[in-house]
Amino acid sequence: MATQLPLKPVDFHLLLALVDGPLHGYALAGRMREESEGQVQMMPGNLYAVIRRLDREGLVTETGARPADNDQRRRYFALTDTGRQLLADEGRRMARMATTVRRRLLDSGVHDNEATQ
Amino acid sequence: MTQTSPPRSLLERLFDAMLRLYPKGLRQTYGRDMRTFLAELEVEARETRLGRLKLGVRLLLDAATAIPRAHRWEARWAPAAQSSTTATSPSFRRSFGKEATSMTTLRHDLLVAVRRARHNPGFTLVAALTLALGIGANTAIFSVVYGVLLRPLGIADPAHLAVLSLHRAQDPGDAMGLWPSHLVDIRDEVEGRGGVRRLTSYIFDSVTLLSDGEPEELGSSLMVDGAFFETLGVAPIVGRALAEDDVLPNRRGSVCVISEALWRGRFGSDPEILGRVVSLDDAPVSIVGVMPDNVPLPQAGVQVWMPQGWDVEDGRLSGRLNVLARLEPGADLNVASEVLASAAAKLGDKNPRFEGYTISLRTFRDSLIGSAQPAILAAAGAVGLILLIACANMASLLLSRAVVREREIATRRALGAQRRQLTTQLLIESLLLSSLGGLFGVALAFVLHRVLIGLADGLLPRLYDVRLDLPVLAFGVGVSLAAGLVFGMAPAVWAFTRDLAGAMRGLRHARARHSLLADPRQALVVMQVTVAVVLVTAAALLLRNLAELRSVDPGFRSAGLSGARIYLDDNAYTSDQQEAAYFSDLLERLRATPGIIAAGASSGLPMDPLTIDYDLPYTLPGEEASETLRQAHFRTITPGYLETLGAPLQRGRSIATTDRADTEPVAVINQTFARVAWGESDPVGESFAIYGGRRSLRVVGVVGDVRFHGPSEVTRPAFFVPHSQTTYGAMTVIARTTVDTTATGERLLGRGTQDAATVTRDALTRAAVARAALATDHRQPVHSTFTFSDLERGAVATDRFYGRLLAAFAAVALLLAGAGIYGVVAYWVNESRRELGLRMAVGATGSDIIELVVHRSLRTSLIGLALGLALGLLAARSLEPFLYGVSATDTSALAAVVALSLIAAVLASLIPAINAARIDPIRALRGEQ
Repeated sequence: MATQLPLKPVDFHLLLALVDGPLHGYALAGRMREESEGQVQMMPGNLYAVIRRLDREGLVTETGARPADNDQRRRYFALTDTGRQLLADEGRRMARMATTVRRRLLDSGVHDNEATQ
Repeated sequence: MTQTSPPRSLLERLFDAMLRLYPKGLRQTYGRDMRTFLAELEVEARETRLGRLKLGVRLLLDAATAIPRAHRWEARWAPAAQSSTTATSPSFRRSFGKEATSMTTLRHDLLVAVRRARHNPGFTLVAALTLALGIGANTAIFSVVYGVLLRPLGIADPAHLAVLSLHRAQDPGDAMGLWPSHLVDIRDEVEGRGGVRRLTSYIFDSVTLLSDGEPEELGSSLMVDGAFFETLGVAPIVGRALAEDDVLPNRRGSVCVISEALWRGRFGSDPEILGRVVSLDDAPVSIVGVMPDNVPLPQAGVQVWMPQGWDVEDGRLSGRLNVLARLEPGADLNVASEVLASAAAKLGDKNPRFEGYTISLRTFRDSLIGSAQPAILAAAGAVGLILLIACANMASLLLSRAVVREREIATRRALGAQRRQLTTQLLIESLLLSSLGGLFGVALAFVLHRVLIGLADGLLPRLYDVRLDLPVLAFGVGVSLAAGLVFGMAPAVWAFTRDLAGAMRGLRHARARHSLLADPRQALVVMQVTVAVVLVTAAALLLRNLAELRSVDPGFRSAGLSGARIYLDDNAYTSDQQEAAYFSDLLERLRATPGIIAAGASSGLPMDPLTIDYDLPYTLPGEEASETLRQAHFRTITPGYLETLGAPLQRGRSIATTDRADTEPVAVINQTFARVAWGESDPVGESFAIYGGRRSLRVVGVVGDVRFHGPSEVTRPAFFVPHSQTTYGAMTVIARTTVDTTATGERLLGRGTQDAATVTRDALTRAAVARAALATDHRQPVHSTFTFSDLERGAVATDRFYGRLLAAFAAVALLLAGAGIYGVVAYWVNESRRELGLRMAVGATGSDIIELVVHRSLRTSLIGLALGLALGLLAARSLEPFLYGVSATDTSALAAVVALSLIAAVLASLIPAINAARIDPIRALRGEQ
């Protein structure tokens, strides 16, 4: 059973966090927390369990290409092409959903500002 | 592990333990990275004080969800996926739909509970730590209950092994051993009758072991008859036990069995130990077996067992034989007791000396641990009360949370949630909390267990059997789960008895007016305060008692006094003259040592657990020997002993060097003896007789009473005879040093360091005794050394142990009850913001508000205090056997209880009260936080 759309929030934020380049586990968790506005807080157990799953599903891979803050003790993870593709698909899906929500709310008379708040 | 690694934190160890539970693949690939992650988190957590604890909780919750998840995913990728995952396959779900669904729901509930706990780490931590205190203390005490009272003894059928004691019919507490001649008679009389299968006898002795090199005094040696090991039914770990064939008539045999400790220590676990010949008291003896440690044979710590045929003529064995009886399976102890009592009556007919004596039986277990049992059970009861307080705290916290979630619950019920679903959800939440509490509790138990073992050293029987092993840990886990179930029910039940409609309308402030009993949390606080006060009362009484015991005058001056026990080898010292000469030589040498001002020796010391007491019946002139029921404590002493001890001479003279074997037999008696036997008149010059009237002693002096068995003892009549006239080979030599060491110590080492000076001084004195002993006869080792301060401390050690233990319990109880009060008051303040804000808006000052809040909280606490005092006074009655100088209604102790409890109650409500006084009335009235 491969990962399908819609992505689970954790998977989504993990993939999203890797868009800008490879990260190690701790930095990855920090980025996920930041980008999710504190909604997704990963501790080591769940983080690596999810990484391993996404790795097995070919969405994420360990990378030898290391960024500037290279730390030999750690593994760095990067998006695979499939992962990047899936994230993009999810982004488009979410955009479509957002459009739908906004249109429906406008139809029912709610002002745009309120709807997007 | 040979490689040295940096010390790991508790969290790291916890994490590593949890890491093992992850699937192998994940662990191997990412284990190191996960540890690195943890290290980062620890750095982060260090910035806040509670951070590390919170991190611990979060890690546990993380593991709780991640481990099952990871296994599920791992199974999905496993090559044999098809076969191994049938459990979750669609067909499985179809056929076992119901179970599968309920498992899914359960998992969902658990996930919800974990998520909730994670989102509210402060609450989770407080609840779990409260519970952990209760569970930790209970598990640690249960390790003692289990180890001492419940763990199998290691001997065969201990229920049918009994200890005989020969004593006056009126005074079962004052028992003595048997004579070899009686044993023969009694054996003929009872064996095979009344369910008594067999008797076995033994004596405690001390032998000198010599095997390649140093002589070593084995103070805990046993001479046994041929039936001993068969009667106790314990198998050796190496070789064989002793049997009838090993016993030689009228003397020791030429074989022995040694303890596991001796084998491992002195003989380095020598695999060829069997048949090895060693010298015991200068006789060659071959080792035929090794007995396991931690089995009472008949008590733990015996180092060597030797066979011995009792010589009926040997006066040294008189009254020293200990006897055990093996009963038939299913035999009744009472029936066997009657058979032995009638044998004792026959003994009395034959020998007028034993008229009025009887023999009674108690089970082996009872004699081994009997006296410790009530105190251990009392401690277990006290610690159970702590758990009760802790559970009440958890219930109170869960209730508070249920109130907050009331609208959620009401909505869910209105939407059709089944009662069972809601109950399950609430129960799972409380079970999660209690499991967490159990986990911390068990960790805490390991610490407390160590502390407890350290404190109880030498005070509890079978301490070697007190371990934190599976049964004990299972108890801890069981208690946590039970606590979770029982106290998780509270919010669940409460959730359904609430006014649904009111909750839906959000009338939260309405609860502020609730009466005491309408709010179960108030009732819980009353219960907590009550229980805490009961414990504080008991602790206060025990501590008062301890202070009282310490102020008792022991009748001697312990400062600067120490010495050594010397048990002369019977084979080397065969005559009274030799023994007397040995001790007089030794004392001469000792007195010549610089720094020693006084020295003497006695057959027994006050408050010395190793002293064996002899109470002898005595008669006054004109009385028949068989008439007397009076006994007096008997000690043989050298000249100078009483002076060294510091016991004040009140009349006449002390024992002197002029008292020789060929002069008139004399005795110095104590004050109590003088009063009991001669009333107000001067006893000096009077005489009394011992040994059934065969030996008359002239009283030459009276000394002050010495408490032989510790400060709580009622002093008994005692008399001292000269060593030259009644010679003993087992004596204790004591010596006093010259210098006023307190002053000297302070001068030399500065103020507050006299402890160090005392230790040094006592060590020097003991070394001086050991040197004098070596110089007198180098083949005769010193058995053991001691200081009188240690003996005095030891005499109240048990009282101190239980006093401190209960004081610790009381402190924890007070702390937990305080936390309970705090929680409820803080919650009430939060709920009553509008009301308080209104009061402030109409002119109430901050101190008015503080007073109001503290007052409300005290009302509840005072009910608890009153109930607690009443119950505490009732409970104090059961403490009476442990109290010596204090009555169970001691006013100063009770006043302290009231003061302490009030202070705790006020302090606990003060913080929320101060918070209440800081409420901004305008924001409160607007309904803002």
